Amino acid sequence: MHPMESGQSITYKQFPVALDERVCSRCRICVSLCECFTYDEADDRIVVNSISCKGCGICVAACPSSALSHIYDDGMFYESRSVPGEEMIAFDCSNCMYLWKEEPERIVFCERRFDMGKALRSAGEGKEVVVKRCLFSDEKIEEKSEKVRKTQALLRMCKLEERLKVE
Amino acid sequence: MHEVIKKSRAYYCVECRKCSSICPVTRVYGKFSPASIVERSLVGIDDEVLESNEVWKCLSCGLCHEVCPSGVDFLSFTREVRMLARERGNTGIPTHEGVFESLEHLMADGEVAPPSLEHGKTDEDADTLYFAGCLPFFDTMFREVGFNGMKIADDVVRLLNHYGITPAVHYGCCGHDALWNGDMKLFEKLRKKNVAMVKERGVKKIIFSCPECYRTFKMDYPEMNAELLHISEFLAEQKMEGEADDREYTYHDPCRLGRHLGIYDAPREVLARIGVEVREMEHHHELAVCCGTAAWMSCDWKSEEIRKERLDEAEKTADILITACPKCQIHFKCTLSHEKRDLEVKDLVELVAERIL
Repeated sequence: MHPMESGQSITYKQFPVALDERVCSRCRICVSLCECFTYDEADDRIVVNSISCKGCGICVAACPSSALSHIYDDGMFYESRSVPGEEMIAFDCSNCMYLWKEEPERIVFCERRFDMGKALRSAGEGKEVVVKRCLFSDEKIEEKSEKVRKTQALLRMCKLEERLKVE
Repeated sequence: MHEVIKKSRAYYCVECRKCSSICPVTRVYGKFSPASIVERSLVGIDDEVLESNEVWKCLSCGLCHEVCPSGVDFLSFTREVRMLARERGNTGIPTHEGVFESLEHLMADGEVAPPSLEHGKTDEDADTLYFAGCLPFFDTMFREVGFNGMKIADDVVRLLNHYGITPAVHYGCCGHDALWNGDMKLFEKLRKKNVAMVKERGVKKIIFSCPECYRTFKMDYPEMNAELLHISEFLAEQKMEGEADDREYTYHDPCRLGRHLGIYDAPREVLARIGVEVREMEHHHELAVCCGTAAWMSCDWKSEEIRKERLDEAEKTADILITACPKCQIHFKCTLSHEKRDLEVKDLVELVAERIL
């Protein structure tokens, strides 16, 4: 069962957006995309209202100068980018905000927001790493997640292959 | 902090700011300044330094050390400051989701079972060891940008075979990244493990293809008494010849091999012997610019900017960029994978193996 279905409490994390004013070109694309941004004419700068930011990441992917980035509360830094000719990718997934669920014996990831570093670290600590399918999509894991495949290969080289399970 | 300042000779800083004027990070991101970090530490506002992200932005490329008139060792300063920052829970932003940090832990605690080499012949009881480092892991991670780590390992072994050596091969972490990211506990664990491994194997000579492993074994393992050689140094002592072709080549000095260890001539010598005429970029030898990221820490637009500048220099000078460091190659290839340029990046051993084998 996907942790979201089980009714257990899950910690959701917000990703407030961070603006690097040094590289911001004041193009105001972000202002046109989201109400979190306003353009301050007097100071010629973009003002971010981080309280209303939901962390969807669309602005980060759209910013042509890469001035926007995402930071979440344990200091990790996320950058999403748009691939020319393809759909925008915001943090790999915009279906839900589920990151992972940590239990004493195992850690449960959603395939769409699989964190390789965290998964390897947990495997090293002796935990079982479980990857679940996205609840909102019909696509299969094998077709989707390059990261899961890479992690499997890395764990194989560390002789810990059996700690990763794809469900 | 007092100890760190004393050890790194930061007291001798004359505030001339030459370090900041040459720092590649400062050039693209004015808010970062090595001089300012040192000055703030000297006047006692070190809390600000230790709790900020600034300490993680340094590339430890060592350019500042080249120009400092008072000989302040900013590299050891950065290293020690990062240890203090880590104690306060300021651990920086690792690249690739912290995969390599996790792998260092895995390698410190367990064994590595890499895929076998395609052509090279190895012998586990040999008295020459080829320390291949993390190449199989890099290979898995960076195939998509065109990096073939196992081919580098294979080419090194094939070249050694060619000169009559059947080496033992060891894969594993040298602890370089843990050391430069201030994680002394992990570094000590890896150091002890590697020293024990060398002792157990009883090898007399160790060959490296990664300048970072080489630097760590040579400078940070005081008890290491085997003979240590970078593959370029080994090749420079051998007889070889090759024919010139009509393409133009340039050489990128990796910071660990160049500024940290002072090896500039051996790779150029090898290239000259196989008939490659090296055309120097605008910045070379002591003043070579970094590839943009070190120790898998803080890779963002600043790194990308530095990398692009370096690739611009290379593109102006030559068709093929040769480097002797797998990490430099990965970083350049990453940029090349999403930016079309008339430039090819190759490892030194790859080129030598192509020419003489």
